[in-house]
Amino acid sequence: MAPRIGVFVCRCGINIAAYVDVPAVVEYAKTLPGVEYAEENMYTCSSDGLNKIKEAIKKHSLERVVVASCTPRTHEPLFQVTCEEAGVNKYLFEMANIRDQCSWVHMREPEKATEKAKDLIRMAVAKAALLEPGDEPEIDVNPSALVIGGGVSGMRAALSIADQGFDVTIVEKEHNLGGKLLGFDSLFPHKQKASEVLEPLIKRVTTHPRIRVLTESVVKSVYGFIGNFDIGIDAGGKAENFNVGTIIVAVGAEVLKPRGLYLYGEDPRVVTQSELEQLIHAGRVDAGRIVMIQCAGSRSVERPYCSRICCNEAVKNAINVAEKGREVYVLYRDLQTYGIHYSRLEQEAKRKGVKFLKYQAEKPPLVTASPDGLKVSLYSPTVNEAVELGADMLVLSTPLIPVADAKELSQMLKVPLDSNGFFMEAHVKLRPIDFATDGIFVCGTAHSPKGIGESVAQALGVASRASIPMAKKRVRTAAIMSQVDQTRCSGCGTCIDVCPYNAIRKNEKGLAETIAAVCKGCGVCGATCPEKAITMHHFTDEQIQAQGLAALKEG
Amino acid sequence: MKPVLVIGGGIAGIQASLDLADRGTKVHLVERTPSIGGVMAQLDKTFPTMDCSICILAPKMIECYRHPNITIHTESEVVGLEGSVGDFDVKVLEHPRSVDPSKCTGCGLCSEKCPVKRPSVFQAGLGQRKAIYLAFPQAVPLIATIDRDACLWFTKGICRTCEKVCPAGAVDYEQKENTVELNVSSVIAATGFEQYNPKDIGEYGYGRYKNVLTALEFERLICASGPTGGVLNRPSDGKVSHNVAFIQCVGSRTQTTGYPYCSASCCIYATKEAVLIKEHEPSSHVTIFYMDLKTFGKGFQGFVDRAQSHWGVRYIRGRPGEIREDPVTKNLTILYENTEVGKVEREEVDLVVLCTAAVPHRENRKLAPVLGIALDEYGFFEVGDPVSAPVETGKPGVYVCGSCHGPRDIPESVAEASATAAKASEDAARAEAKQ
Amino acid sequence: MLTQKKSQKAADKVNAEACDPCGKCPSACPVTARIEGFNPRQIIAKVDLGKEDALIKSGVIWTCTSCLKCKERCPEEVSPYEVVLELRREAIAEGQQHPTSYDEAERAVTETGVVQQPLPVRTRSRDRKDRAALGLAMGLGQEPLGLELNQSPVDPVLARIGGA
Repeated sequence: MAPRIGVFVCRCGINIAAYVDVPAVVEYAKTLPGVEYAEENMYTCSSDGLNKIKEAIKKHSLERVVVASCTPRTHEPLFQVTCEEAGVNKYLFEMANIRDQCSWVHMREPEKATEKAKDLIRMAVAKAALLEPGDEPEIDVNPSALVIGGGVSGMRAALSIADQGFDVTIVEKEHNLGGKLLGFDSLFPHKQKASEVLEPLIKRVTTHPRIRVLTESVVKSVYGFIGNFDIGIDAGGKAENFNVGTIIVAVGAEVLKPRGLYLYGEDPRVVTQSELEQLIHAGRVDAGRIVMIQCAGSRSVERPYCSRICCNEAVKNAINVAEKGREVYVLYRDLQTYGIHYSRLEQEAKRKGVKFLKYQAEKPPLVTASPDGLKVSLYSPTVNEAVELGADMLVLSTPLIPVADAKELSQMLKVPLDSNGFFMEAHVKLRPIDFATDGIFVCGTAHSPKGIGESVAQALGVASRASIPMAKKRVRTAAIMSQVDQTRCSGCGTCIDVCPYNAIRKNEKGLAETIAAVCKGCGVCGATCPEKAITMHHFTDEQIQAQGLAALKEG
Repeated sequence: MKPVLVIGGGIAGIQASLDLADRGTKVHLVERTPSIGGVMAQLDKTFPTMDCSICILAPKMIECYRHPNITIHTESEVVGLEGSVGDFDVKVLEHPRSVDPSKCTGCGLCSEKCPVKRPSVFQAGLGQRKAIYLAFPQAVPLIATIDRDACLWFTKGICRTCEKVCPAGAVDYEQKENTVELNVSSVIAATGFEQYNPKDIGEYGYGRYKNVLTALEFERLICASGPTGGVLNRPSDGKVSHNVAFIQCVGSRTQTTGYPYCSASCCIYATKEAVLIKEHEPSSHVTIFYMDLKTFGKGFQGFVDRAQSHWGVRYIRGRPGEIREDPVTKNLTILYENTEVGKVEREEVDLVVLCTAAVPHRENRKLAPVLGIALDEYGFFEVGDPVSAPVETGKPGVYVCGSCHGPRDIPESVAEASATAAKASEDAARAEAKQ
Repeated sequence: MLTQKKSQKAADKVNAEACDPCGKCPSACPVTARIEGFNPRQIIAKVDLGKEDALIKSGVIWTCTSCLKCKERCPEEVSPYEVVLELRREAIAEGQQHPTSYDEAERAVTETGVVQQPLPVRTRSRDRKDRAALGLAMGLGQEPLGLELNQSPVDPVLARIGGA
């Protein structure tokens, strides 16, 4: 018996309805084979629309549901859960995107858009008829976490996870905990001592009963999936293995040291802000005139990003050194003193006599050296004329850059890096500290340059995100996955090589087997298998062929 | 384990609620207006990905509504808080919406027939709603509300049309306010922000010149669900605007308005709005007048670079001194100095968008004493130690996230929301350990 | 050339360092639009950096009309007008004279009631009427301070927005 299919066509306010003749599309849907019921909704995703789906399922005994609306990227989970609530397995649901892929891109051709909407629905109905229910595997979650990086972010995340009742292992490559904050003098915006922030953190972390700290250690291998990651560590020369449920990436960032830029590395009077920070901390600043240059190596072709903290770092350091009666000039392109605290810091610097001169990106300052001092020449729009400054010390505000082993780590964890080499989150707005790979999270400057407070907020954030699966003790994973027919598999291993998620492995018989919980259903293995031994659930050859044939049919 | 109270149903409040609910903690989400969603529901698209804002928000709103661990109280306020972390007694005042939530289907017929119109807050005042209305099409909960100050029955004792036409018999004029008493372990404040009203900056003509708008008004204008269906019809004559100027730092970075700080996201949202205009009509001219271009966020600089190189958005470094209206065409002439070269110029445009300061929500002043927490000099909730404890108010068990403690963007608010969920979960774990 | 910290008498007396160079004052200033070399923002910036000597020598500080629009518009409550006044005091103290046009203007006011040669009266229908024919004061016949007698047709938009 062919399954009973219901079709719901969304008007999406005017997004679809203004360009696609929705009533005509609904009437057309009714003529398709297997369609028992079709209706239109103003907004299918509204609670009213969802109720209508559930009512129709019950009233017309529907066994498959097609929603023709927007993008499954945002709305598929919603409709799937709705089907489940009405007793229809979520994998018996199919979406046709008649907005992003139709009304939105064919606004000037409404008749053709309507025909295309009909085509898309015909394809979706053809596939829906062949859909099978899916079972979502549940896996246990080891309620323990690995934190890679023992700086402020890593420690704060570990502490919160431990305080919430889970075991944590911190793996730190250096001898000491503390990361970049070690050797810092004071922090903006309130100029508290870095040691006041670090010392209590280190103390709590090293004495917490649930936290294990491994210093001079690096992660060597990561296998597995959320709830069950097998970690291989080189702990000061000794190999160690353990299992965790979640992983936090808190490896921080490096400070760029731009040899050759503005005489850096050639003249000892040219330093970076962090080097100045160390000098201030040691009480060894004796320059009478200090010039700072912002965007030294950032917002450029090689590094087209702003490093967020350098302007505030410069302002803070300028305040610190200006207090001793020095002349301090900050040469900037756009002063990134955003928000309440940094705006206030800028005002304080100005009151203390720090001078701010703008320079233009296309005319960077020229630095020349002589035995009595450095000379900085620039055209400054602040005074709309050429300016020459003498300096005893030149401080370059250089950007944070990704750590050297970011690429290696990203490949080990199978998580992506963005175009600037920082770790790339699942969604920049709504999932800023999750990776797309379940169970792995990122915080602090490993994600992007940011201040300490912002890093701590993200560290606490990942502590919450990671604790969700650990608190639930089990996770459900999607049923969209590959399946290897053991009778056809020749054991060639090609699928294992091409899998981006490490989700296929050889079993005891030497044949390929999918790790259901990790498989994301991307289909690369299915496409690659020379024996055609792999079925992609929910995207079977028959289903795709049916869609293709339906597409070619006349409307 | 005790529930957690979340005050404010914008993106930050929603994220905090979902984090807690997903791990098994019960949440009471209290929202002052008829629907959760906050400012993010009013935006057209979000930078830098240009996702449709309500499209990425609505699934989270629905998740909150359907989550077995979340109870949403809309049209509600927190009016009392006593006790301490682990054991707070809270009083929530639920205002009557005059509609029975168990019967209303959100069909909207009542609103269609209601004779009374009022400016719509959701449409930033550019459109209207009725005395009985649904907050917006994707509102959660999708239940009608009666504005009793506008309704003819409540003000004059006549009409009752909505009751007559409602097919579900959901209208209930007798509905009373209700006080709910809760006992919670922690409190998370996520009350968001407001936009500065620039009418006092007389030289920009807001309120006098019809074609001078605020950024939020612009978002509604360019949004497909807005009063003009997303066509940039300018207010004075409905002509489609093809030459738009954005003015940054209106109210912000200004001692004289009392908001000397930078509002953090305006440079990048102006860029987004400029790109929206270009996407709608590539031949449009768009100019952004700024002081310092704030491109400090992840992806911001790349977004601005593309706006310039790919879309041709113009950036001029100069805060205009004055805007004048042509009384015949209603076009605006902007008087500015291009500070890069030190030359005073003028530019005629047909629409001006003022990017106004993000200011504290006026409700903070009522809520702070109730919660027993401090406000800073502007009226934002105060965070004592923004470095080591960025979401803590200093009162144990009471946390803040999002713009309620200072201007910030969505990714920061979302991360902070999770941070407050972590703090609340730490509180719960400590309470459990004690038992 | 900035090598040493120069005396910053003017800067000490006004809060020039509070200026966040935005450009509102020059774009509001009626003089900046018309006279080359006068720009209140640049004046503030130069005073803040100790370059006031160059400003005083250039004589540009005498062209400010004291309208105070700069102070009214400034978001930081800086008053370029106060700075200009301070620079004028320094100029006088160093032996500079105020421009002779000031004396002429003073004389014109006392003798005729108008500061300078007024422009012809412009009517609503946009033609011009002779002042003498209307019996209005004519001034001393001196050239207006920096303003040419504009005989060309007026841009209608400029006319409607009050002549920028």
